[in-house]
Amino acid sequence: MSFEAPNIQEMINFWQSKKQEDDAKNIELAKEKEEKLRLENERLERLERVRIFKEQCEMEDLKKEREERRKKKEEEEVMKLFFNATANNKPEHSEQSQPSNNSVSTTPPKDFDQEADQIISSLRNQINTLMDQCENLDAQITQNTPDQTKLIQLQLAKKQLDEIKEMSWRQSFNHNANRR
Amino acid sequence: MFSSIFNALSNFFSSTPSLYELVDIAEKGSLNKKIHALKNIDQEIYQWIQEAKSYVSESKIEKIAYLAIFKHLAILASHKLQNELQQTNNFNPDQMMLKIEKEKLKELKEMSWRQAFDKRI
Repeated sequence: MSFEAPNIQEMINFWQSKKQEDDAKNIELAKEKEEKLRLENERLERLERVRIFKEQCEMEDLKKEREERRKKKEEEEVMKLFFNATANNKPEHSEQSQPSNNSVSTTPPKDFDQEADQIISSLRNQINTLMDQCENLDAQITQNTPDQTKLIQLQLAKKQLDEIKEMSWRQSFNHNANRR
Repeated sequence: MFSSIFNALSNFFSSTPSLYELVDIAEKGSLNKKIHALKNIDQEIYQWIQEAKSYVSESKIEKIAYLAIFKHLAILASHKLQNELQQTNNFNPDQMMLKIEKEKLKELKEMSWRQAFDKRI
């Protein structure tokens, strides 16, 4: 059995090439790591920018809200002043007076007393018209109602018809029995 | 004057106790009861009373409530009478008599036919 001794130079070359390959791989991995790190940093930066932008927007909204509230309050105060002024200057029992939300004012918003009289007279008129209508209708109904003799005749005719129907039924029963 | 018309009206509705109650409220009920009754039958007047009751005398408010209930009853009476009139217009005794006579004739003819058939057999 022959045993061929390995060529040392070849071995060295082999291990050197192997080492070079490993080094190249390591460099590649390091590059990849670096790239990943860069991307992660970029993502974090973007997130930070978004957060800052959001914060700014919220601050803007708050500012606007505060401004609106301030304006509303101002308007309300102006309206209050206006109502107080009109309530103090309003002539008593004025027919033109409008109902006011201010509880200080005690003048009636409309002339309800006059309106009440109008409603009473209008209701009376309506009732009278309706009563006339009812009387007319009642008279028409009395006129249309048939006289008693006709109603009695009708009742008698109905009774007769019922009797005939019963007789006919009995006859039909016997007739069918005979046929069988 | 009004109580006699009320009596006449309530006769129309002898079968409806709620209308009797309404008549009772209008005649003997308190102001609050009258106003409460109006809530269901005349929203317009009810709203007006709510708005005006602090400015108008109680007697006027009571009169308005009373008349409004009475008007409602008069409207109902008018509707009922209209229906009755419609019924009397549709009812024709002569025509009904004719119909009954025709039916009688038909039955008698049938009886006669059966009798003739039985005799032949």
